[in-house]
Amino acid sequence: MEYMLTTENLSKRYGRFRALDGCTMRVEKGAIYGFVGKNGAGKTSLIRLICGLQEPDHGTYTLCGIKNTDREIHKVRRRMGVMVEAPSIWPDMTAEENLRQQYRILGLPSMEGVRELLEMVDLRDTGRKKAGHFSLGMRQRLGIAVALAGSPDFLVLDEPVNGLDPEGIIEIRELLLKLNRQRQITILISSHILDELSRLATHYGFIDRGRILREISAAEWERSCGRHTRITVSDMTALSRVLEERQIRYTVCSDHAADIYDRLNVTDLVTALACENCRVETIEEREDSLESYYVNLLGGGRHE
Amino acid sequence: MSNLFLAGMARLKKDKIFWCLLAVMTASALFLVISRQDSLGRTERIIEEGIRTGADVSFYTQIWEESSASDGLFFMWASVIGQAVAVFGAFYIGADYSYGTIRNKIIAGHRRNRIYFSGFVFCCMAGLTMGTIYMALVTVLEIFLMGGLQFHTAVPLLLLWDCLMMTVAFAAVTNMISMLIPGRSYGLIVNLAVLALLMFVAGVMIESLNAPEYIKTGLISSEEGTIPIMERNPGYITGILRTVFRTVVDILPCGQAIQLGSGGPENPDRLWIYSAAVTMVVHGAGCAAFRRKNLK
Repeated sequence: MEYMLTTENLSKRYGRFRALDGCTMRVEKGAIYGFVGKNGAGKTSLIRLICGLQEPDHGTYTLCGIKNTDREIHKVRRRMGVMVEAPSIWPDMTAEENLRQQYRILGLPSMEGVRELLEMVDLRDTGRKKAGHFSLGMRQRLGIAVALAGSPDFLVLDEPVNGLDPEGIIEIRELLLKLNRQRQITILISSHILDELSRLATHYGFIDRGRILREISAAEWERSCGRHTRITVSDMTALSRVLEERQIRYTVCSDHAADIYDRLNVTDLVTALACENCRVETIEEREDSLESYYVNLLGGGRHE
Repeated sequence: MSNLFLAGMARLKKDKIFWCLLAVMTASALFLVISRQDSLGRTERIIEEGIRTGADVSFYTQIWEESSASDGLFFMWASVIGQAVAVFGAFYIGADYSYGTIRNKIIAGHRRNRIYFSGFVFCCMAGLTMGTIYMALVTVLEIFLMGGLQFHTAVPLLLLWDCLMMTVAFAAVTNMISMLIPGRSYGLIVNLAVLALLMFVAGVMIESLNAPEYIKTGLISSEEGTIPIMERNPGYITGILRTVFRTVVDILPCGQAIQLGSGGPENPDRLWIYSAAVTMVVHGAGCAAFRRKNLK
């Protein structure tokens, strides 16, 4: 298994406040890693450390296999594209000038690709409009374009959809999915909007008080507490018998309701139940939300 | 490093503060030369009137000779370049923090000492450009109006070198403050406050050093006429204190600015050495602090 980012007992303190407290995590290459945590949990602190903006007090991290204490870490960081908290753009420059400026900082030999990047983030028609006059969504998209300027292998986005309208959120989501699928870019994305993250991420890391509580892939999450079918019937005994015969996983919720976790042939099930004189009242597909999973992980009952 | 330089040049070309400061320097040069010409014209008229009426014009002749020299005009920029570099540096470097674009440089793999050095280079460039524009304009105007530059000082090139090195020292101080204090507003306030404090200290010391050794305390009437009574000035500093004051004033860039701006430093051969030392110490300390700084 190849990892783009690994951290080992990473710790960082600001005065008496422990922002990170032995944080250990792994981001697989090619994944979209959803980084979930409440305000002050340590998400931005971790991102600042791996970007080189700050040094950890204890622990280490690796980027593409290179340790943070290695002299080559600066070169490896060029393979990253980052947007931390807010887009890092020049307000008195146009979108194209901002990208050209980033190209100069990266030392790219030519300005080829600037127009394609603007097209990718739907900013090709901004012309001579200064970035300072952009809407929030446009600034966020420009920030992502700046992060993509060096054709990075690893994109780190700290709450990129904050303040965006629903249309803007969808645009960003589709852009990130496209980048991951077409360019195999690994993405680390932190967000409070769990519903949005659940449509995007292939892996999740839950952080609280500077520590990773759990890491889980989207597939594992779906298997353990994801999609299921809620069925209400007139005879629970008949339902149990039919499901046991077909070796279908289920749990009984009440005298007339059960949750089924495996894929099922509805026609076959209804026919079998009819033979047992059991009426099917309702069948509905359900999904435990990422929010409820996260809340339960934190200790249940609390809402952010 | 060249990437940072190219990116910085692209920014500098669009930097409004830089172009405003250049315009101010240009306007200052024009204003000062025109004012000087106006003053010379009035003095000439007084001298002509005096000669016509047979009055003693030696005093006004001396004023005309002193004013017509280029020293005062040519090096005047030295007295304000510190403030100009502070304003430029605070906005130029502070903007990197305010807009978060300093992150782009770190993430692009540039080492902190190179980022710090590039800030220093651009502060130097801005200050030296402003000084050069001012001196070039004064030179052209002097050639046109007075036939050329005429210096009273015997070492104009040495004074010029002192001015340039002093500008570099100011750039080092401004760069250190601006790189360690994030944001344009805070950086500007601290830069100007530090400058004002150092100017005040240097000014007080220079005033003490320039106090006369003897002062007139009274007059005696005699057959030859009225004779002033001269007594030793109690405020005149001597010995080690004088040496300390002189050294501090020569070391501080603000002290050098006051001396060079008035065209009369006592130790012009040492000033550039002190500036070089200040630059190295401030740059080294600032760079070390910036390497450890937690950036957001």
